[in-house]
Amino acid sequence: MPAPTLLRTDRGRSIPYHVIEDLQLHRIFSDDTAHMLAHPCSADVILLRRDLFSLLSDPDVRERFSAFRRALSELSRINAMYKKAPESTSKYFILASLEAKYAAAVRMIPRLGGCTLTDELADYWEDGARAVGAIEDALRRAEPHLTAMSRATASFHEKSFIMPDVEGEAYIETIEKCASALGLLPEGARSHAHREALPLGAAADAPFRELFAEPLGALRLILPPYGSLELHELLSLATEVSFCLEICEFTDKMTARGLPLCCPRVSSERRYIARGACDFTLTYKNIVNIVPNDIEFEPPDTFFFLLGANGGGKTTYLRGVGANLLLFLSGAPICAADAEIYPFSSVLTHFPADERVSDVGRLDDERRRADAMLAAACPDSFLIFNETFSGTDDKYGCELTLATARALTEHGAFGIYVTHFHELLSHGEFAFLEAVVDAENGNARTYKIVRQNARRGSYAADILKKYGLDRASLERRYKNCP
Amino acid sequence: MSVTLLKTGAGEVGDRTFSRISLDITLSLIIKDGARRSCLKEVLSAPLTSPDDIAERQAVIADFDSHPGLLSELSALSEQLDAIRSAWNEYRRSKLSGSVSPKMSPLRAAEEQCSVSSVTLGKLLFFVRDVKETLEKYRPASAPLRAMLSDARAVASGDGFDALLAVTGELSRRAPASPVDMRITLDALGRVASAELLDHKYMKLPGSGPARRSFFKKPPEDVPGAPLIPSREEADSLLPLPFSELSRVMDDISKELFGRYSGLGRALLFYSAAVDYIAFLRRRGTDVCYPAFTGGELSVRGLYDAALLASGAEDVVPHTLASPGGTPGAVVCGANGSGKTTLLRSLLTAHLLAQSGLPVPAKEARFPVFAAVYTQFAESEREFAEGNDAGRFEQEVRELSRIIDRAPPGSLIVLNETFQSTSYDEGSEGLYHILCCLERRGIFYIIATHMEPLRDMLRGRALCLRMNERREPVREE
Repeated sequence: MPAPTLLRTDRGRSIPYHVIEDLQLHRIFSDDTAHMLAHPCSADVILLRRDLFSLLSDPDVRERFSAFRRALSELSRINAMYKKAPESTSKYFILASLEAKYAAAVRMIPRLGGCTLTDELADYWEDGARAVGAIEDALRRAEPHLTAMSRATASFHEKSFIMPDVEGEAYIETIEKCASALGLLPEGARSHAHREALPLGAAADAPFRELFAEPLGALRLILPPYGSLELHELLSLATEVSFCLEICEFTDKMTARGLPLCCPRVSSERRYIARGACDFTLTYKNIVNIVPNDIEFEPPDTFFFLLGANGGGKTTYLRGVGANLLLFLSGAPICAADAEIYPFSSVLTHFPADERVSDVGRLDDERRRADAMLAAACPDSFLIFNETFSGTDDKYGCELTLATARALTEHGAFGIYVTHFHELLSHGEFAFLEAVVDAENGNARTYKIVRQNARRGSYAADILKKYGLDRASLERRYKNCP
Repeated sequence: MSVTLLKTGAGEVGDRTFSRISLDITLSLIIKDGARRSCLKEVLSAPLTSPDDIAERQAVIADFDSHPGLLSELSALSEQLDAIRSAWNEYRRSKLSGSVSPKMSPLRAAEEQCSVSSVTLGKLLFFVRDVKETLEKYRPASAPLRAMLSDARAVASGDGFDALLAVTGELSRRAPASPVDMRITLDALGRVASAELLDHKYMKLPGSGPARRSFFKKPPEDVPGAPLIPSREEADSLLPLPFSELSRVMDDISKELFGRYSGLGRALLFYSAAVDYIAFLRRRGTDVCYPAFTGGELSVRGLYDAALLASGAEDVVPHTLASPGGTPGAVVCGANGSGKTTLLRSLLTAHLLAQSGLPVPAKEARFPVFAAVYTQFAESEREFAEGNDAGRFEQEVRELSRIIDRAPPGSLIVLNETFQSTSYDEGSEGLYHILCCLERRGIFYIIATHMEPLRDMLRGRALCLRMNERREPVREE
């Protein structure tokens, strides 16, 4: 029976990593977790993962996962040391440490939690846990031999030799004792705590082996062989455990910032509905007042153009749609008050080309990437375009935009397209979203996105007001003085 | 833990304040030693903001003023400390740059480093003992100097001081290339966690009975040992280890001691400058007093302008005024040459000195503690030539705007002929609103002005002063 993964990650199902970058998720999550988000789940796995995340809301369970992650990390480090170490006295110490860490990690698995995914893991490792008993017993018997070998005295004179530890006071002990009594060193501070331990060299190893031949012989017989450990299977859990914990840390952070969180219902019909959804990636920029918006993609309105004022929150909305969708597809809670989402099989993005390294012109690069997206699109895809074809003149850009939108809808895919081509409004075949401004308050940005026909104009002059550079703001500065 | 004779003030002094009140020139005339003067300026630019801290510093100055020997002996010790630190830093720098005997073997280099570390620590221990003895001789009364004595006593009279001194002496006298005996301890991964140099005098070999024995002359036959023939590379990494570890721990102790006394040199420079300043005032024959910082009262009796005293002027007019607590500010009017600017300067100079713990040339003085001090002076003669990208009035408004943005409640803003480049009515009205804004924010202001409309607007609200023909401030009802 092959070892199960914790999260049933389907490595064969993936979306391009640039999607993660376009949606700024790599700034919110670690590299490993960001890569995990690039493997969308099927509906049943989403539900299983949701149970697990629910379990992790219990602080005790989360602490057990954290401890398990630390144990795996330490195990991985020692495993790498063991593989590199030559046959030597040290190798027996490393093997004993590795086996102790291995046993401790395996012992943690049955205590991880009580949901389908953790139970599957526990069932598999139950056999391992039984074998761990033998490892632990061997380690108990090995302990006195390891202790005997851990201290020795080396004498370097005309003839140098190593002998068992002798009695005697070291200078460093005297100094530390006196300095601690005088309050000049923290109690128990050891100088060697600040440096990396030194490998026991081959020449020093030889007398150690000669001097401690007996305990080494015993260790050879007592310690289970390295090959008997299922290290690969155990260590492969590390990424998924980290993913779980990072999602929990993420939800804690969002809650602390007052953002809504929910576990969307998994829809069997193709739709993406969310109330009060937020672009949580703005937290990376420490933005406090994140304006929630509704998301409604449902046949027949499976595709929208999004227009409106500069700085009005169009890209933010776009990112909120995409980032929350990816969270949902990984089984995690999303930043919204309530949602129902179909498990789309892929999410694709097209962001401005000038942020990419390209060996062709910007427009050609954008066309090539848009064509590739459309070729990969299927009815279960969700496509996101941000200011695509903005680098050409309005007429041509508008033509390309329309052609792309038509191709997308012909594929039956879902999508959203941010653009400033207001001429599109005259084409009645598509639905529109608009970034709303408050006309009665000097066109102040509301960051609300609503479904309606957008007005013309990008209000570039309003940006000046935002920074207090217009006449009225300057005059208002001391208005409260009597 | 550190020995603090000079607390860092949290107060702020706005840009160009020193030059506007000629404090830099005044100090250069009074204090000839550049290092002391520079240190004094630095301290004055961050005034203390707690009355207790000010009183504490006043007490230290009084101690040094009454025991000149204490200041000179501590200063000499501080110079010794600087020399120890410089030698130590120099060695560490040259070691880092690889210029210390680059051909030396790692063992020899580690032995040398251990020797330097032990010599440094030994000198530092002697330094602490000398500090203790000096302070015991003069018996200072101020809390910071008593705390310094207490700290030095805890080290120099503590259990282990003599033993520590003895070990540093022994290690500094150790001959290079002496035999090395070390205790090796392996960690859980079989690596050398520590290698400790053993003291030959206290080693007891297995089977050698109760007597202490050294086996360096001739290793005994009955000790179960395995020959060790390290490669050059291994010897180079293992043998220096006990010396490096000893150096590290001795350096940690030295760093702790250097850290404790890190501010001593600067503090003594400041106190030397303070004593120089007091000596100057005594030579000029003026009254000298330590101002009180109680409540919000600002009052001075017989205050002399330090700048005029320093310049050698003979007919210096003393100022007396009182602004009771709760007054939002003061406006000073008077004819050209009536001494308005001198009054601002003498008040502000005295306040800056006083809030840094120094005495002032007055019979009596009471000041509020200000969180920050800012000035805005009309500067038609000088500063308007540089970077003049706006009109004069606009520059003043811009500077004042920055000051108001920055000033916390409890600050002092001193304005000298501000907005004189616009019409009096417009300037007065503009300034009145600004001063009202300051009042609401709890910022005290003093303004010298020709603008009578402003004085009229502030009458009954602020303390209104007019300079009389004898160049003295007189309160207007």
